[in-house]
Amino acid sequence: MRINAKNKLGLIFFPAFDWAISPTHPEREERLLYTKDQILEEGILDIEGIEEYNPIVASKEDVARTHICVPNIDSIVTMPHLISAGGAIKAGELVMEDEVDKAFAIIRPPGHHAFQVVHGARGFCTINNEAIMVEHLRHKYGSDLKIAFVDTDAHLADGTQNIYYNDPNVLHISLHQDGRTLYPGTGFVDDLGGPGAYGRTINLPLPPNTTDEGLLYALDNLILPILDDFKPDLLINAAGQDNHYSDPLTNMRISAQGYAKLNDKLDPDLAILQGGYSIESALPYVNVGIILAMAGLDYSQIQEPDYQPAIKEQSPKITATIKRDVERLLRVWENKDKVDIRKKFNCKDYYTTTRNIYYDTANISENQSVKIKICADCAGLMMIDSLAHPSSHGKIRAIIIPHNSCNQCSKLGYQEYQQAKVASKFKIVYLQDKKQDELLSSK
Amino acid sequence: MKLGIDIGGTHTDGVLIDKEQIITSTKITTNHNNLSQTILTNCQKLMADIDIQKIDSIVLSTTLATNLITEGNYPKIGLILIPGPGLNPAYYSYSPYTEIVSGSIDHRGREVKELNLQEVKDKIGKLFKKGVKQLGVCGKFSNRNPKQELQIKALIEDNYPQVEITLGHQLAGSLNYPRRVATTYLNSIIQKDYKEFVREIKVGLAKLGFKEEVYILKADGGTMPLSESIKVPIESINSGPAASIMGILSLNKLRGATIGLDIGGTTTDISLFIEGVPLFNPEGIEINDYRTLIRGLFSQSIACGGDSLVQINEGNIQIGPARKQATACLGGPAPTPTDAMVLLGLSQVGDKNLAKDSLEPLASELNLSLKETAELILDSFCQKIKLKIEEILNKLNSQAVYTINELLSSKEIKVDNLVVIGGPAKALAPKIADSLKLDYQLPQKSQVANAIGAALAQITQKCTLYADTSQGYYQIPEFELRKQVNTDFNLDQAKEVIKVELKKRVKSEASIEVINAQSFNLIRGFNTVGQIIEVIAQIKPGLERRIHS
Repeated sequence: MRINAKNKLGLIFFPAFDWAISPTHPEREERLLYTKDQILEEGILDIEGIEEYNPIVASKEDVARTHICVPNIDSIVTMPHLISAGGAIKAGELVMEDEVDKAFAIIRPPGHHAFQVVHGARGFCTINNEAIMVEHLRHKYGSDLKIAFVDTDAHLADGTQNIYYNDPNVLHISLHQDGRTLYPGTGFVDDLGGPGAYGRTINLPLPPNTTDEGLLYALDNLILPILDDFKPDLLINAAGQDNHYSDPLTNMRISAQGYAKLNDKLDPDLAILQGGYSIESALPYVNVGIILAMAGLDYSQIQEPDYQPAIKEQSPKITATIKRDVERLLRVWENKDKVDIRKKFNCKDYYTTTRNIYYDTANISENQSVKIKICADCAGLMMIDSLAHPSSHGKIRAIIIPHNSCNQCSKLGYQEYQQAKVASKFKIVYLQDKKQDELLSSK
Repeated sequence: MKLGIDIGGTHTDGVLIDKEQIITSTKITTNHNNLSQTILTNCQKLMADIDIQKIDSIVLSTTLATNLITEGNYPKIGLILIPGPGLNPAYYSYSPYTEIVSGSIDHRGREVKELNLQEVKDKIGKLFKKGVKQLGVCGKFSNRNPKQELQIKALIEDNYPQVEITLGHQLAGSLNYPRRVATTYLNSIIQKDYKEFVREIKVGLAKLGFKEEVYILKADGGTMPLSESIKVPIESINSGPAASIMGILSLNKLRGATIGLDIGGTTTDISLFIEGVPLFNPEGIEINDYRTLIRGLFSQSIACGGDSLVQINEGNIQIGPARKQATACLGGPAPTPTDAMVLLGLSQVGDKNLAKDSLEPLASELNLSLKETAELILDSFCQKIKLKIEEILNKLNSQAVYTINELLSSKEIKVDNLVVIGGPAKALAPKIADSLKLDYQLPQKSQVANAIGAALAQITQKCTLYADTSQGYYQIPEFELRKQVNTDFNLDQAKEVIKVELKKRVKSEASIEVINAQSFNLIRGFNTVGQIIEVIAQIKPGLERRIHS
């Protein structure tokens, strides 16, 4: 009378029923209520090989090795965020310790819109739960771990991409509704990462109304070949569920079957919930589908109550657009190591750029000046000058020494830190030494 | 006076209790082919020389349900399932005569797809042609909306009025469809024979002149009137461990976190009490490999008892799971822990020489003296129990929680004392308590603890209220109650309603406890359109009184 899972699945289901961003916000107590009901009623937790775990609470150190919080961690981060990150960490540890074959963290709030420098909440996220998990795992199991993210949320995971922008050991692939039609408005085919990690960021914008067919085409023809080549130690599916045809905030047409099939074929080690706010019509069914797919069980009978077969029809124009962009990206991937970085980034010793980041949830506007050292031996020292409006903290400088830093870049980083501390134009200076696992702050 | 009877695998125990004293107790061999007769004989013995008018109640803890299911000697039972989409129904089509019909209800109790009544008629007809005699009907989310189950029932009654029907939503108000299906199936299996059993008991007791209420003991340590149990006979299942646990409660004053051990012949049952309140099994009990929604007291068994077979396996002592007919000291073929106890002088059962002889071959294989071998056997016994207790506590201390408050405030259960009952209890308790580093209690009269527990158990009932004020209703499936409400209906009102309804239906002076109460705002657009409210309440299982030890 037992159902046996093929893959031992660790499930961290933490709906945080007593927390919300605000009472009527999509990120509210109600979000995972119907998902809980569906999981319980389907008897998922009785399946042999599916084990439920509680999240742990992420530590301040976990946050410090991932973010630079302005002015400090205490003023930005609260317990619900640490628990969401802790849910992801727990999932990661279960897999790394071989206690389970795969793990799925259904947690809230999401994290993939939180950037490296954090002034407040953005896109419902404050700290980046999946990046915190990765940094925790690298700290515990080795910073040379090769990680691959496949983010299938309808929105670009701009936060996670920002954190790993210049990190060659973390491949970040994002499929999302075309940024010209949806928040955050970025994530195009030419966004391929920084000079120290060129080609390790892959963005495939999908036209609105893309269906399961388009999604799976991209999986089969772009994602799987790239992953085959990259050979990650850990494959993470950032499983945002707002691509669903019933999602109130987006315009895509993915179904629960599509999600389950994607997860089945992608065969990730970890899945982490990100966005997804069709809390009655999508989340219960998509999550059950993903759980069954990850456990290696039959998901063919999962279906939403309002499912119509017509939802599967994809316009030929969409199919053609996706095909074209897939081919383009494949060629980029194939040639990424042959590229002349200095020529590509139009620079000599340092690559400089500026960014404007808008924090919709906190109503803050941030200007960044970014400077990355072009280094033949490592990813290169990074400096970010950041000024946020409104802010009582003034201009800050963050100096980031990469995981694989060479001695020169590390030495330079400390020198720059000392110099910046004396300079009067920076209110606060931070040094995040990823190699030595240290965060220094002048305040 | 209170009369309690507990049917065991080998023996049936009975007690008659007046105030806080045991007046009489009986022990007769169980006749599994005629349980009603066993019960009535016991009653007769207990009632001899007593003014029957003074007996307030009789409580029966029977194994009828378990026997019927285990023996497998039941007629063809059909299952009509309305699973809708989701987990493949093949995974839980427990009956060989299962038919799936189309139709579905969603998590909010909304009808997503209507039944096709012709399809239902055809499939029912198909089952009857195959020789099916009884039917169970079970739909996903029927506890939120029983409409489709009731429709099918009406259809069956119209066309086949003689058939016994079990409906899933009447059995339990909690979620878990595969478990609800199993519970429906098992209930259908025992329904007819259980009715007959109740008739026999009623007739027999009437003959003895007993006119008061008869109750059955449930797996959750509470009782239910016999006549009511006909509707949900599955509630009578697995009352044995509950009787034992209530028995432990009745014989001891418990404080802190207590482990209860009932050491039997074949198995040792482990239970847990916090400040004298027995723990529940959170998901529902398991019967013969079927997982059900029947609420039960927490009880875990290990296949290790006083009469278990002792062998040597790869140089180590192995106790159980097998058991031969009797211990060596009583003429059995092989050594058992009881024989080890006899050798060490901890027990005076049977012939010491026979015990000695049985242990000789083990001693020589292990190259130890007889005394050392016997000590080793008892050490292994204690070790097995210790490991199981640690496993149980680990599991209980890492149960999943869903709110931040619970996550941060969960206290770890740390056991500080032990209560031991059962044949070998006196001999083994000191050793077990020592290896676990706990204080222990050895209650007197523990031989009939089960019957005492049954006699003193009280009526209980659990029910679930689910309200959706946006759709304008609340539902208490256990009472077949569905009422309309408006959007003003809130959590406090729900708590009042459930208490009132519970009090109306259950004759009990005991207080009503709200186990869980949650409400969620339904936000659509940016407006609050209603609330989802869930309240679970119960009349707590408890004892009517304690026994003077």
